[in-house]
Amino acid sequence: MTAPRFDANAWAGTWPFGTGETSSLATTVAGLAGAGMAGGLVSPLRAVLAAEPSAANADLCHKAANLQQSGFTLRLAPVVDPSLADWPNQFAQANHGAGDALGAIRIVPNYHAYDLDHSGVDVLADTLAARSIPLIVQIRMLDERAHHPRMVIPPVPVRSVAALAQRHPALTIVASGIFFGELAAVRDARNAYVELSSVESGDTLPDVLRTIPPERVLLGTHTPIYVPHAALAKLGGEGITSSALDAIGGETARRLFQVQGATAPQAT
Amino acid sequence: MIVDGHIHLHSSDGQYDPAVAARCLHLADRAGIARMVYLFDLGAAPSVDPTGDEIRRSNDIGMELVARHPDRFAAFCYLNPSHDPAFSLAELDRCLAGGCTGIKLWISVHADDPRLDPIMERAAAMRLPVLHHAWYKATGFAYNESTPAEIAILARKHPAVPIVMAHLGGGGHRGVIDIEGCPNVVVDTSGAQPHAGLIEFAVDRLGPDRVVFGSDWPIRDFAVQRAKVDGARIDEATRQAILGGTMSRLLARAGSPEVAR
Repeated sequence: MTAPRFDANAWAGTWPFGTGETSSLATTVAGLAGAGMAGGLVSPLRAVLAAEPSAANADLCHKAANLQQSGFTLRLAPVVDPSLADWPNQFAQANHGAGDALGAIRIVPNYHAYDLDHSGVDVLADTLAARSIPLIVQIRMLDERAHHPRMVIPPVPVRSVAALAQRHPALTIVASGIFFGELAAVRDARNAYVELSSVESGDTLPDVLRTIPPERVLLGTHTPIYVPHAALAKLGGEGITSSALDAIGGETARRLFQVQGATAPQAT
Repeated sequence: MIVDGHIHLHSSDGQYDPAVAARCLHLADRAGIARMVYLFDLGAAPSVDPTGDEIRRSNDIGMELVARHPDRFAAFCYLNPSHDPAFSLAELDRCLAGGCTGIKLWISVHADDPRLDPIMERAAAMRLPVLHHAWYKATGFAYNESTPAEIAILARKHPAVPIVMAHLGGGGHRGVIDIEGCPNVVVDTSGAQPHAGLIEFAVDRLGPDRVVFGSDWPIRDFAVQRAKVDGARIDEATRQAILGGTMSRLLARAGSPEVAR
């Protein structure tokens, strides 16, 4: 019997490109549950293009508090922009608004136009590490080739994620939206995890595990922008133990995002 | 029967390698894929403007695949329209004699280039499907990469040729709209990330019989690419058409083994 699957990368709201996919929090949860997910970590899409993310975070937290959910474990990852002078207020409001559902803080440096060596990032990293809250660094929202031709947003350089992880060894970092060809850049950063939604190769998971150990790999869908079934199809391959699949498929995420009842990591 | 209309092999030395074919078959089996269309070998013909020797080596691999696994593989003849038409047509004849059932064109020449005409005229005469690469890229256009708009020009110029426009995930919504008025063009589902809503959009605009499954393995993952179709919000008859029905008919029309079934 497989462990419950947990999505480490989901969103709610409207993404204004492509088909203009819109998904309320309730729709995101229903879509993930319908695809076979038992839980997920959700961020507000509106925050990605917002000048200040607090309103989008507050809206998500409000909807989460009022969501009627059955059997689905919802965790929230509000978005913070540490390049803004008010980021401590953003964090405080998000922390308060999400309450016990807070699973992580997400940053989108490329859309919010700062680099990971910005001083605010280091202060935020220290703040999160002190509270054992993971930091999700969104490398990209879409394959750059598929961006609007007049709005191409370069990805966050993955080597800067590795450098951030090395500067803050007590911080848990998740590289979200990373590509297969970028995995090697975070191989040696032991406090850096990778999320699989944009990772693909001819035999995805076995190929990933040649670079990143299973205890640092997280299932992620990037719903509603991507089809969630595609993420779940990555959970397979020769030579991968059921315990590794369970860790990747949800157990590690449940522990990182402090889901009640999550099991402690196994010694390897 | 699930038919993947868009795969490659990647042989390390540019020669047919049974181990590479076996790995392909094994992974296809795991994803429930019964039959595949081989387009070219990434090791034998790695260049964006392949030489005649590279073309021949890549096609040799396709013919070997068909000879050894006739129930599992169809092969298209890979051509570079910048070559002398006499060479291309002779290579096509060689490949048809060796079991190939279509033509593959990539990025050596834009799709609206008149140098495609001799190849397309032969395709029309022999009822051969032509699979042509296409993509809209905001960044990173490669060499003479075609857009879906150029595929539409090609399709209107050669309305008797069934054209498979590769990479719905690359051409996106604009690409679907470009070919909407070209009934001889179907689009394959390969390319880029598994964007939600795109297959639904293509089915809505083109109809259920103008979208075919393609994985682009080994650049992409069979199971992940199939899951894009499995997860699309379409009816079951449409899903079955995408996953194999339409491609089987295209191959049968060109005289592949399905004719006898």
